[in-house]
Amino acid sequence: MRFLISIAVWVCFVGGLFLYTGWRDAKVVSGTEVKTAAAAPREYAIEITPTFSLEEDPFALRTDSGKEAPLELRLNGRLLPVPVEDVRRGRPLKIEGVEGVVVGNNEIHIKASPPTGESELDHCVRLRLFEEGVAVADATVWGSQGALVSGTLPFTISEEEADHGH
Amino acid sequence: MKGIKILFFILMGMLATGAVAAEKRPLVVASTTQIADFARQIAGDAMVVKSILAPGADPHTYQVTPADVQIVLGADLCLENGLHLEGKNWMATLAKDAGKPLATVTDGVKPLDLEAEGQKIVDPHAWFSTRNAAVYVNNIVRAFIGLSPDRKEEFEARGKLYLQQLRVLDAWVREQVDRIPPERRILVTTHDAFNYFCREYRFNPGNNYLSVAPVGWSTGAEVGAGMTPERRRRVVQSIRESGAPAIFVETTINPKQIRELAQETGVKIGGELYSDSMGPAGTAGETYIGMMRENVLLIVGALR
Repeated sequence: MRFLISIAVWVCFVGGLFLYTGWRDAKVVSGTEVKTAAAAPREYAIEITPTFSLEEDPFALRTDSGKEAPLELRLNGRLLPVPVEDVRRGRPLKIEGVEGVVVGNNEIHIKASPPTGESELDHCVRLRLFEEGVAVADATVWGSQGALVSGTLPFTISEEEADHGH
Repeated sequence: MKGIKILFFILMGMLATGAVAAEKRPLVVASTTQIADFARQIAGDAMVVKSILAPGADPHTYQVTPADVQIVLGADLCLENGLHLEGKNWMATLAKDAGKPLATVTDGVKPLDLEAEGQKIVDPHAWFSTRNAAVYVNNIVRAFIGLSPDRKEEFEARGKLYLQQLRVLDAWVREQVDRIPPERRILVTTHDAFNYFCREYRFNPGNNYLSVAPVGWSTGAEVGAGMTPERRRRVVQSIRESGAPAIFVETTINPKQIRELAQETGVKIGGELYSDSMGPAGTAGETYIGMMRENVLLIVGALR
């Protein structure tokens, strides 16, 4: 009889534990309201000026869904279309009509592969953000010998600035 | 009462088995230590990766053991180098006999052709070029996505990071090799494993940027493998003509032949290079990047 009671206690204990962990893991985080930032109302453009011309990267990832582009430009995590064939050493390339700039904090991220044949050189890309034709943010992103040039230009659009756009 | 006790233990056993099954991760079995290292870099903790060859073992002369057959029987995916690195294609045979999928990680590599005894042979030691290592990694990423499509993003993310590390390694090797005056870039090793390395990083200009070694492309019994008196004579001549300041032994091969050559030609032994296998756990050569780094430091230190 004592053995049966101990099994019953054991089953209750382990069963309760299983039920609790199952409930805890399946619990959906209750819908915390995610604030969506308002789109900044002005015209924006991004200018990139690399110290190198692009070439196919022998160290790029190639999967069945395609291969990595030699230059990737993202605004707030969203990939921006860049005509990579127009990217030339020392020549500024302006991408007009950039959409996705929001009121508040923003980030432009760039990743580019300099030619592996120039791995003895340090390369960089100058990134500039234009608002209504005026440069408002500027950063130079460096890649040391052989590495990809990769970095971020953070910038903030204040509500006041946005209001002036109306 | 006895029946209840038995039922209790069966229940406990089922619970334990269930817990183990819930944690089961796919098993990937690689033929060599280099491929196993690439696979681990991509798999993270999502898969278990095992290598058939132990560190220091020779892939050309490996003999299949019952324990290795058991490992392959439990595999979800097998990885081989191909290009006949695995003597008599032992990895392909193991995978086929066990009915397991096999990926050849050199697919897409531009192979180096060698001539031996009037026959054309493909050099299998492709990983000694970091650009070829990138091909290995891409093939492994694709194979892993095929095995676990739901983990595609994480395999790709790890793959991208590791490929960037290989890119930096490649630039570093070039920078290091550049410290050796061109006329001293003479690499003499035990067997013909360093052809891709010599071609990529411009060693042995007098031998069409190919390896100089007394033993052929394989230490096994294939065509063009092993040492012949003619081969040995050519290597001695090459060392004397080039003025090589040092020659190198390899971790997977008996150093006797190279020591004899060093005595005969009066050059020093530059050290022991990782060639067909990486180093044991805890050594600097336990990873591909560590193996390449240590080899290059040894070569540059001895030749410059």
